[in-house]
Amino acid sequence: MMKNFLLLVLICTGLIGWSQKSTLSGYMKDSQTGEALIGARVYIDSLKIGAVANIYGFYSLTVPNGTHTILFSYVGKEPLKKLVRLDENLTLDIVLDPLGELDEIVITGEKKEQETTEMSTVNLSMDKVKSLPVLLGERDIIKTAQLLPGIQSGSEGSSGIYVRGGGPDQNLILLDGVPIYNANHLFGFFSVFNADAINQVKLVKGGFPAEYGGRISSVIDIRMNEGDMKKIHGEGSIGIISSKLMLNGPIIKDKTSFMISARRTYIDVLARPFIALANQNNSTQGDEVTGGYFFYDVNAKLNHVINTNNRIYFSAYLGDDKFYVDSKYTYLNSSDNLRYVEESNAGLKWGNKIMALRWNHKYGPKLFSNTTLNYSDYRFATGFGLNAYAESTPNLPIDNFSFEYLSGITDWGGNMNFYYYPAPKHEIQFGVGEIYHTFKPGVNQLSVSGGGATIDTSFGSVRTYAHEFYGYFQDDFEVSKRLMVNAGVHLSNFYVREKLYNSLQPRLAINFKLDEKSSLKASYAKTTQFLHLLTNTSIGLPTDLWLPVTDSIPPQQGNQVAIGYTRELKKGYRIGSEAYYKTMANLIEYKEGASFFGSNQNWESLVEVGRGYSYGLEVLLEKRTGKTTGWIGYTLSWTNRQFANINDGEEFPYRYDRRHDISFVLTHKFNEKFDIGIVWVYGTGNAITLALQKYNSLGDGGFGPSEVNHIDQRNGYRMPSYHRLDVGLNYHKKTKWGESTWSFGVYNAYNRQNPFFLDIGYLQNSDKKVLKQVSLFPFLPSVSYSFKF
Amino acid sequence: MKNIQFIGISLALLSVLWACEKEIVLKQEEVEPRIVVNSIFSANDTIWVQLSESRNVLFEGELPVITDAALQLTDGNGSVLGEFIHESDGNYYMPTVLPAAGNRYGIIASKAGLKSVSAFSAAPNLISVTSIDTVSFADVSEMEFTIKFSDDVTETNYYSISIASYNGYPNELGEVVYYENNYFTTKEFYVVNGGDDIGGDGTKYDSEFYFTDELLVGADISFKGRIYYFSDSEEPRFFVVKVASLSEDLYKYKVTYANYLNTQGSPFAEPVRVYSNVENGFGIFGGGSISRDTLFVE
Repeated sequence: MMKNFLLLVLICTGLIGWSQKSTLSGYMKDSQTGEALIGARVYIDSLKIGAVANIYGFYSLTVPNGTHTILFSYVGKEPLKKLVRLDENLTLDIVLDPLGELDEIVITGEKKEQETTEMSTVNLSMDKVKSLPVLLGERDIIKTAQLLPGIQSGSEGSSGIYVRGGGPDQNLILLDGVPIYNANHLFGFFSVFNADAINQVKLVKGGFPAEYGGRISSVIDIRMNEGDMKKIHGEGSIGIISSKLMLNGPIIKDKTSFMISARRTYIDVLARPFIALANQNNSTQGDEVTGGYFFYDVNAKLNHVINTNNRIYFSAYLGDDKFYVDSKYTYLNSSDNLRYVEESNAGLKWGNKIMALRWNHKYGPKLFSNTTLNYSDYRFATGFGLNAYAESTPNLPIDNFSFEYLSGITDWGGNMNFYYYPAPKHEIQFGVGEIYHTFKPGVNQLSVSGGGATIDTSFGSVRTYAHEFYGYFQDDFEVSKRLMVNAGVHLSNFYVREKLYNSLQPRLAINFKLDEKSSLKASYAKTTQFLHLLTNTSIGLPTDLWLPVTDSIPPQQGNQVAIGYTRELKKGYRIGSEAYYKTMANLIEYKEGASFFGSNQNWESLVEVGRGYSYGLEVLLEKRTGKTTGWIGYTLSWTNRQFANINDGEEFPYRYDRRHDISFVLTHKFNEKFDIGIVWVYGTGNAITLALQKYNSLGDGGFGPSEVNHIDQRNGYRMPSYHRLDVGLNYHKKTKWGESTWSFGVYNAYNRQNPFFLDIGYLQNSDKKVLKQVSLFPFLPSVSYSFKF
Repeated sequence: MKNIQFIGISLALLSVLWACEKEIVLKQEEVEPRIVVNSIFSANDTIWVQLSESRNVLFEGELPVITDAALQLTDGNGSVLGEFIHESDGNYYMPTVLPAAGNRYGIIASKAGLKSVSAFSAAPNLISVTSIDTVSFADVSEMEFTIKFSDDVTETNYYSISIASYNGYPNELGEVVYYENNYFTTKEFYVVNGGDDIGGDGTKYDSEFYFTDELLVGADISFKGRIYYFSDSEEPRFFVVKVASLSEDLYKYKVTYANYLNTQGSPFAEPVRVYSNVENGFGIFGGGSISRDTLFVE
């Protein structure tokens, strides 16, 4: 079946270009590292045709036979011109050297916005990620993405993102093609992505190509470094809260490479002296407390070239967060003159494990495939316990109690993707995939012993298993010199508890080139999401429950239309603007009064199903060349939700409904030694639910009236606006062994007290009851040292 | 190097730990006092209304009652039927009109300096309880009640049921003092309150259960509830069963208010908006008719 389908596609599309033509194909690689140059450009000026290397660095260009001057280029690399005689298909692998000591960054290698059907898409430059000032000096791709129009941050410091009014669960976050369910470290203040291990980040906010499915708001496609094929390199840094190290290099030169990176925080280590001091003060009372928090992550990748047509990759990510508090209390019992010990503990931990095995195969100059097997596991656990015993008999507990709450989701998956290049500016992509989900919405484990009673039991939700199958076809082609179209369809189905959901999702993106420098774009995408995230918090605490659709909770549906205009301006400036309208159906939300506790049991009865919509305008003015680069982004948007039994069924603003969102990002390179990064952001205050008045109630069961705090509207109160200036300075120094960089940064340079949450209470040293704003990060300096060799 | 490290760490720790607080001043229009109406009225019974004023959430002290409001009773179309008289402490009564079952009534309250408020509701018919059967589970000191009554299938009806046990004990003066337990359990699937499924078998626990007839098929409703009683009671114990028919407004108020009370103060619970049918003000003006039965056990 698959074979016939493949054949049919090849025959149909191949006919289009059936003449005296030949195909030039191959991989484009970095000369120094041998890594694939994703998105590198191949261009024949005389024919005004070109192609772009795919995410594996593979390119294919079919042109009339003859001798052509071909330009190969990539951002930050020396362009390479080659005179090529084509009278038959030719494989040509290209390696590009880094730019020389030029004053200005040349961007001829980048594909031009006005020449592609891609819209609502951002390719994040890792150089930019590394040069911008960030919270506590921790480079973070998600935080950099939050500076772009249409992508909003949650609360202060959070690395959660809200794309065009969508929730955090509606973002498909792929690390080397494998979904990551919880991308947060440190309660959401940092993302799990170690910038040193990342090669490319592509963020799609709308106009989704048919290859993507499973989420309704965005795709964040992150690719890890492949590893240098030539020689060993390393990168590392020592910062205020963490240190990291990345090594990559050949295992077999030009054949097999590796990349491994690791990062760990040392908040727990830093806290130890303070805890020890506190324990010293309490030692006379028999109290001893220990505790801490840390996270770590490890990224690894193996890359092996079998031959010119076959290559395999193995990539893995492992990361955990752990917060723990242990206490020990020792006392003397005067009645029996024995010493007794009471030990208690509490903790919270969560983490992701992912693995992917990929096989790239080149069937010929025009057809390329990628096959992936993957595994993703997210787990969360929290618990507490108590153990009491006589010091002389530690193995005979007087009281022993432990409670643990566990939840998670595990995926096994596989997919096959084919890339077919029948003619210049004509790319066909199709594929199939299957994901086997295991949902563990929450299991409570209770163990009690001592005092005569013994309980050892588990209760809570049972595991749910589901199959998600999908297939897609997309065709990106030129209709005329001015008009390009990407049309496709994504078909998916989901089988859970003997119920089958099907979804046919048409996708269309159109680019109409107005002239050589500008174009109009439009897109439509229907999307379906078979997973729900039940969440009760705004700061990304991993108490969130991932849940499947069921017979009573249908899949989320998204529909988005967008129109856009892009224009290349002089001196490296570019302006882009997009307007969008998005509807979201079958969203879930906790019912009024429902609580996270108990939601693992019969969670379906605790939620309401409703709808949402979002619309807005985004403008991005970029400066991409020269010593000074950066952008100004502005978003004007509205986002609302509606549920039959919440807020009396009336519409209410989404928590992150943000009328105005502005970002100003600037980097300036003074010379080879110094560069500076400046970021200023502004956002309308978050919408929160707050009772502002109180009144007497009717009374409760004969106990007389009590007071009711009146909520006028769900999310009806606006926090004060948010704005912040960050400044960072990097000092680079060439050394014998490589390069070192000192980075000095200031987060919140003018010490704006931005709202983290509001509460009714008393200010410190005051007996006046007030509406209190609590801010999290004031003026916050940071310093880090990094090196690479 | 050690000094730099120490300074860096200290600065970072200080900054992180130094969470700033400041006061947000509420806008006047957000906290303007409003008239609060509290009234449940029944057919053929005097209507009592309590009026008070709201205050902003920061207000500390007793909320003021309104003793000098102009308060009128109207029919469903807004035509004035009579004036309320203030008795005491913000409590007003209607001396001239008794509400009739099934009719819709309104009130209009005004006071100088505050926005006038209005509210409308109907007095539902009294429920005729068909039977109340009991089964005693003496080993666990529980009494099970099966309460049966008829439902008018031509319209949506709103109900509440409560059961209370009273156990008497003589005090040191020899007087009998009754202790009330008004919390009971039910496994009826159609009730909308009662918290989580406490036993994993559908058991819910509360002092009053609310439900509509939307999920019930047919005219006969049978409700089962179990209540604990004190087995060592020295005096004859008795139980009070109340079955109420509520107007839609009162039903919504009671359900949301019960939810509000259950979740008050929980940081993990979603906020609850207590229903109000008072235009320009807060509170409830709702019709409700209660059938009360007392059962004595020797």
